Amino acid sequence: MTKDKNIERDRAELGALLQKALMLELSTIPPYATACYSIKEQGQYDRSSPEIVNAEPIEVIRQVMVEEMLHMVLVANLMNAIGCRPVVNDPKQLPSYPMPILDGKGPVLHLRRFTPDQIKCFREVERAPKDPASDAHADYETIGGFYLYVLGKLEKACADHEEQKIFVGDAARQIDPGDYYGAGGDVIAVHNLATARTAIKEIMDEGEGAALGQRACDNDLIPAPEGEDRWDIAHFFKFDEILHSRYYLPTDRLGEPPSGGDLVVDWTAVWPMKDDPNAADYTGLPEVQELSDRFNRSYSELLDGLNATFNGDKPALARVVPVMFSLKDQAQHLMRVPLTGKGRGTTAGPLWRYVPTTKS
Amino acid sequence: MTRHKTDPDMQNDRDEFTAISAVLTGYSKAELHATGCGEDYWHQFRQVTPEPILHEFLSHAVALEKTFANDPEVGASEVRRIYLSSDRLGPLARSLIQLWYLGQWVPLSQDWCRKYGVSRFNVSKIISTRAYKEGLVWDAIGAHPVGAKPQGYGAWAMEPPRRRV
Amino acid sequence: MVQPLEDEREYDVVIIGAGIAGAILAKQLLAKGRTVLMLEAGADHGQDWQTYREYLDKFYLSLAKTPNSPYPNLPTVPSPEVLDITPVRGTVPDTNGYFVQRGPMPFGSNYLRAYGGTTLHWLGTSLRMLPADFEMASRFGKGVDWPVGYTELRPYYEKAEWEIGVSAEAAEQTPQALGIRTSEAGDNKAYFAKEYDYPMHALPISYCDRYFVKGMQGLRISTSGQRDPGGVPEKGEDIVEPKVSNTPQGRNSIPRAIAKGAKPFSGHDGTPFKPRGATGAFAFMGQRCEGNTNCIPICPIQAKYNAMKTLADAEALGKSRAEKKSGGKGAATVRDDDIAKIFKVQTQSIASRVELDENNRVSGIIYKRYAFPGVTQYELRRVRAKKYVLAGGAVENATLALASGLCQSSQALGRNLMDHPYMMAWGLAEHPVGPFRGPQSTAGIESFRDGRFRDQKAAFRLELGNTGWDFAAGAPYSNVSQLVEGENLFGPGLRRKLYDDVQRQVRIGILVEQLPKASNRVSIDSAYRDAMGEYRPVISYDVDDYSRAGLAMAHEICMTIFRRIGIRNHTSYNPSDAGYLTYDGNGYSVFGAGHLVGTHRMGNDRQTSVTDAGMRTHDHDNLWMVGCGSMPTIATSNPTLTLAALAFKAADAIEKALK
Ligand SMILES: Cc1cc2nc3c(=O)[nH]c(=O)nc-3n(C[C@H](O)[C@H](O)[C@H](O)COP(=O)(O)OP(=O)(O)OC[C@H]3O[C@@H](n4cnc5c(N)ncnc54)[C@H](O)[C@@H]3O)c2cc1C
Ligand code: SF4
Repeated sequence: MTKDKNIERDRAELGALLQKALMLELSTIPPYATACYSIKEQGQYDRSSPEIVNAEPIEVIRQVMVEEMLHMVLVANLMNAIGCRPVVNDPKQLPSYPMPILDGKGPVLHLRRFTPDQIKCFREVERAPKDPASDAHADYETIGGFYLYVLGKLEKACADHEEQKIFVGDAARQIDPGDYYGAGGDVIAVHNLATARTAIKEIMDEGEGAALGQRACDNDLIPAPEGEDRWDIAHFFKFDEILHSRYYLPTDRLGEPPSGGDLVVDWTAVWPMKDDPNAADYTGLPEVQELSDRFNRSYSELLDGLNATFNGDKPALARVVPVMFSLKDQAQHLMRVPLTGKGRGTTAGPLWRYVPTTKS
Repeated sequence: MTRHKTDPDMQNDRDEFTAISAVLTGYSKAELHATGCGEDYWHQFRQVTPEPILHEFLSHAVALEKTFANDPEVGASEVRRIYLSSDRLGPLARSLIQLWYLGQWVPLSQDWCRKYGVSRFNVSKIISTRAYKEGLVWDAIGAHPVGAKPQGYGAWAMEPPRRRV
Repeated sequence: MVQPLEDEREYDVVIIGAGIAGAILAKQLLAKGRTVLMLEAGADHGQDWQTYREYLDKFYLSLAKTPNSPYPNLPTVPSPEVLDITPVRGTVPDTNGYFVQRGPMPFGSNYLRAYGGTTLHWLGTSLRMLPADFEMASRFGKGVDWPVGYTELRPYYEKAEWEIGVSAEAAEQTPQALGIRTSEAGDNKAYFAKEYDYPMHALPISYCDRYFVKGMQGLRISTSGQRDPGGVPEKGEDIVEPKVSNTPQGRNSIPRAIAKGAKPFSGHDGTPFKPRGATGAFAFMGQRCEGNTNCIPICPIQAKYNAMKTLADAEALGKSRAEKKSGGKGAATVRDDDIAKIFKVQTQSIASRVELDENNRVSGIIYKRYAFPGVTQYELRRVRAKKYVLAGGAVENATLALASGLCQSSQALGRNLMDHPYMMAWGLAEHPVGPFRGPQSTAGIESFRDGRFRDQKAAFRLELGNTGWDFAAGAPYSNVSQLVEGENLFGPGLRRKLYDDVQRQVRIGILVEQLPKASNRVSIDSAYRDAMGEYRPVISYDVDDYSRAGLAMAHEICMTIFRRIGIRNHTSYNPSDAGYLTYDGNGYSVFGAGHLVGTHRMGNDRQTSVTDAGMRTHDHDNLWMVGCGSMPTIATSNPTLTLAALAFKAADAIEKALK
C-alpha cells in the first residue's frame, strides 16, 4: 500500500518535472520564431544587391526551432508513457516575456528581432554543461543538466519500483513517425525506460549539446559528428558562426574564434520590431490591434490543437499544421507595421499571448 | 535633380498615399503596411506620376478617408466621382489598385501619357520578389501566392477560409 | 574543320544528358562498379543552393510564369518555350522559337535543357501504364505492340517508384479500383506484386477533389457510339462509373513503415523510404510537401522529385567508391580528381556528333564545351568510352542521331513523335472550393484510360486541377484586371467579388492518347541551326481523327460531369488559339503536355524500330538510346514513370553487355 503511494508520488514528481520541461521547450519557440521572422527576406530582399544574405541565420534558427518543436513532442510522449497529462494551453503556466529560464539560473528570454544580443542569448540557451554529470543535480544550470536530472529521477523510479509500473500510459497516445514527419529528427514513441532514454538523449544531443561531454574543453576540436558536414555542428557553434560572420573549419579549436570562410550576415536587413512588445503598445491603434488579435487567436488555436494532440486526439496534429504556417506570415506582417507615438521608429510585433478560444 | 519637388521622405505625402491606397484597395492601412511593400510602391507611383497630378491625386485622401468612415456609400460615390470616372486620375487609380493586388505595375496607356506626361518607369514589371508574394489578390481569394508562403501539408484538403469582408 | 581535342580519360560509359533518364542510368551503373561520364548541355548547377534560389527569384519576377520561366535560356542551349507557340499558317514553317514548326499543327510541348532536365518543372504525376497499352495493335488494330509486356516491366516500375519516391496506395491504383472497364478481364490480375506497396503514403486529395467525388456519386457514362449525347444511359456493357482517384505523385508525403523482415520488392533492403534533399547543405530541401502550389515551374522546397536527387545519389556513390579505393577513411583524403575518375557530370558540354567506325560501332562522341554560359565560344572535344548512351530527351536524341547519320536500317528515327494533346474544361462551382492550394493536381479520373472503345477512339485521363482557371484563363491575375478595368470595382466590393469569382473556379485537364504516325516527326535541315551551329529540331505534327474522337468524347464527358454536379460551364475554345482544331463540326483547343514520346522506339523488327527491347540500337551495338523516345506508343499515363522503369531496364542491358 505504502509502496503504491510512493509510486504515485514519484510519478507525480516526474510528471511535474516533465511538464516544466514542456514549458521550457515551448518558451524558447516564440523568441526563436520572432528573431527568425524579423529578418527581411531570405535571399534577394534587395534587388540592387543580388547577393544572398542572411540565408544561414534564417536556416540555423529555423532548424533549432523545428527541433524545439520535436522536443515538445518527445516530452509529451514521455509524459504520456508514464500516464501523466501534458498541458500546453494553461495560461497560468504559459511564458510571458521577458522571461528568466531555469529558475533564474539560465538566460532571460526576450521577444526581440534578429540582433547580436539576441543571438548571444540563443547561444546561452544552447550552452552545453561543462561536465554534464556534475550538472545533473537539482540546481542544474543548463538545459542539458536539467534533462539529465530528469533522466536520473526516472531511472531511480524504475529501480525503486518495477519499470512497467512506471510506464503505465496508453500506447495509443504516443505520437510516432507516422503522425509527425518532416522536421527536426526522428519521433520516438516511448514505452519503457530504454525508449525513454533514447528520447531524452535525442533531445540533449540535438541542441543542448550535453553529449559533447568531456570533449568540450578548450583547445579540443570543434565538436562535430564524424564526417565533414559542418551543418551538423552543435547549435551553440552555429550561433557563434553567425556572431563572427564566419564559418568554423573542422580543424578549428574550442575557445578560439572560427577561421573558415565568410558567412554573410546583415544585421540591418531586419524589421525594426520593438523589443518585448506588449498589448499596451497598441492602444489607440485599432488596426494594429486587430492584426495582433488575429495572431494571438491563431497562436491559441495552435496551442489548443497541440494540447488535444497530446491528449489522445492525434488527428488534431494535422489540423494545426496550417495554423503553424500562418503564424509566420502573420508575425511578419505585424513586424512591418510602424508604431506611432512612443513607439515611433519601431514596428509592431507578435505578442504570443494565449486567448482562450471558444472551441476548447 | 528629381522631377518632383516633393521631398522623398515627406511623411505627409506618404501617409496620404497609404490612406488613399486603403480606400481604393479595401484593406486597412495597417494591412497595407504589413505587406512591407508600401515604400517601393510609393516610389514607383511617384516615378510615373507627374508632380501636379500626384498632388491632386493625394489631396483628396484625408477627406475621403473621413467620408468613408462616416458613410461608406457616400465615400464610394466620391471615389467614383473624383477618381474612377476621371480621365486624368482614373487610370492612375486603376493601376494603383492593381499594383497593390498584383505587386506589378500595369502601365498607363499611351493616350494617357501623351496627354499628361511620359515616364520611362511606366513599364510592366513586378516590383520585387516580396511584391509578388505580398500581392493582395492571394489574401482576397483565400489562398497563398503560388510558389511562396505555403500553407502546410494537407492544408489543401481543408475547407477554404471564409470571406473576410 | 577544326580538329577536336581528345579527352584523356576513357570511361566505361558515356551518357549524354543529365535528366532523369541519364541520372538513373548513371546511378545504376555506378552501383555496379562501372565508371561513368555524363555530358550535359545545360550551363547551370541548380544543385548548388544559391543557384536554386536564383531560379526561384527569377520565377517570382517573371511576368509570364511559364514552365521554363525560372531557368536560364541561353543562346548556347536554347530550350523550347510555350510563349513561342503560334499557329502555323500555309507552307512557311514557323521559326519563332527554338523549334522549327512545319505544322500543320504547332507542337506545343517544351522541355528544359539544364542540369536535372525537365523534371525540374514536371508536375510529378507518376502513373503506371495499363496492360492493354502494350498491345494496341493486337487488341485494337491500332498503332503497334511493345516488345515487352506489362508483366515484364512490372519489377522495373517498382524500382522506378522507389527511386522517384512516389506517394500512393497500391490498393487504390489497380485498374479495378480506378473504375476502368479493362479491355480484357485478366488485366486486373497481379497489377501489383503481392507484397508491393509505394514508398510513401498517398497525399490527401484536395477539398475541390472531394467536391467532385461527392457530386459524381452514382454517375454512369456510356463509352459506346461515335459521340456520346451527354445524357445518362440506362444500361449496357460499355457503361463506366467514373471514379475520382488519388493520383500517384512524385512528391514527399509520409514514408511508409515496413514490417520487420518484409520486402516491398525483390532486391530491396527492407528499410523505409528516406526522402532526400537535393541541394546539399540546407537540410530542409526535399521535405514533406507544404503545398506551395507551384510544382510547375518550380517547387521552392524540392518536395517534388527532380533528377538532381538521383544525380546527388550518383555523386555520393562515386565519392564513396573513391574513398574506399583510396583505402583511407574520411573525405579529406580523397581528391576531386579521384572521384572524377569514377564519376563525373560535365556541364556546358553539348554532344554534337556521334562518330562511327568501319564496323558501324560508335568510336567517339564529339562535343562542344563552352566556357561561359551564354557565350557561344567553345572548345571542340572528343570523348571515348566502351558504351555510349543518348539520354537527351526524345527530340534531342533524335536530332543528334539524325545529325550523325545513325540508325538507318529503319526509317523510324525521329518519326512517330507523340504527345498528349492537352485540352481543358473549366467552370464555376456553386460554392467556394478552395483553389490555389496544394499540389497543382492531387486527383484524376482514370476510368477512361482503357475500354473496348479504343478500336474507335482514343483513351484519355482527366486530371482535376487545384489551381482554378490559371492555365485556362490566367487566373487570378486576369480576374483582378477584369474586375478593376472592366467592372470598375474597388475597395471591399473588389475584395468580395474576387473571392466569389476565384473561389469557385474548377478546371479539368484532358490528356488524350495519340497513335504513332510516321508523318509526325522530328527532322533536321541545315538551313536551321542554333547559335552554336547545332541543328534545331524541325517538327511536323498533327493530331489525327482517332485522338480527335477521343477529345470530343472527353469533352462531352466533362460537360456531363458539370451538369451532374451543377458546375456552370465557362469552357470556350477560340479559333485563333494556336492549337485550335475541329472534329465533327465542333472546335477544340489543345496544348502540349510536355510528354514527348516515340522518336526512337523499341521493337523486335529492325525494319520498323530503332532499338531492341534493351534500348540498344539495332545498327550500332555499343550505342543505347534511352528515354520517352523509346516508347512505341504513348498510352494515357504521363510517361516519366515508364521512362524511369525503362532506364532501369536499359541499365541492366548495358551492364550485361559490359560483362
Ligand atoms: C510542364 C511539364 C510537366 C510535366 N509533367 C509531367 C508529369 O506530371 N508526369 C510525367 O510523367 N511527366 C511529366 N512531364 C514530362 C517529363 O518532364 C519528361 O518526360 C522527363 O523529364 C524527361 O526526362 P529525360 O531525362 O528523358 O529528358 P530531359 O529531362 O529533357 O533531360 C535531357 C537532358 O539532356 C540534356 N541534353 C539534351 N541534348 C543534349 C546534348 N546534345 N548534349 C548534352 N546534353 C544534352 C538536356 O540539357 C537535359 O538536361 C512534364 C513535362 C513538362 C514540360
Ligand atoms: S505543392 Fe508545393 S511543396 Fe508540394 S510539390 Fe508542389 S510546389 Fe512543392
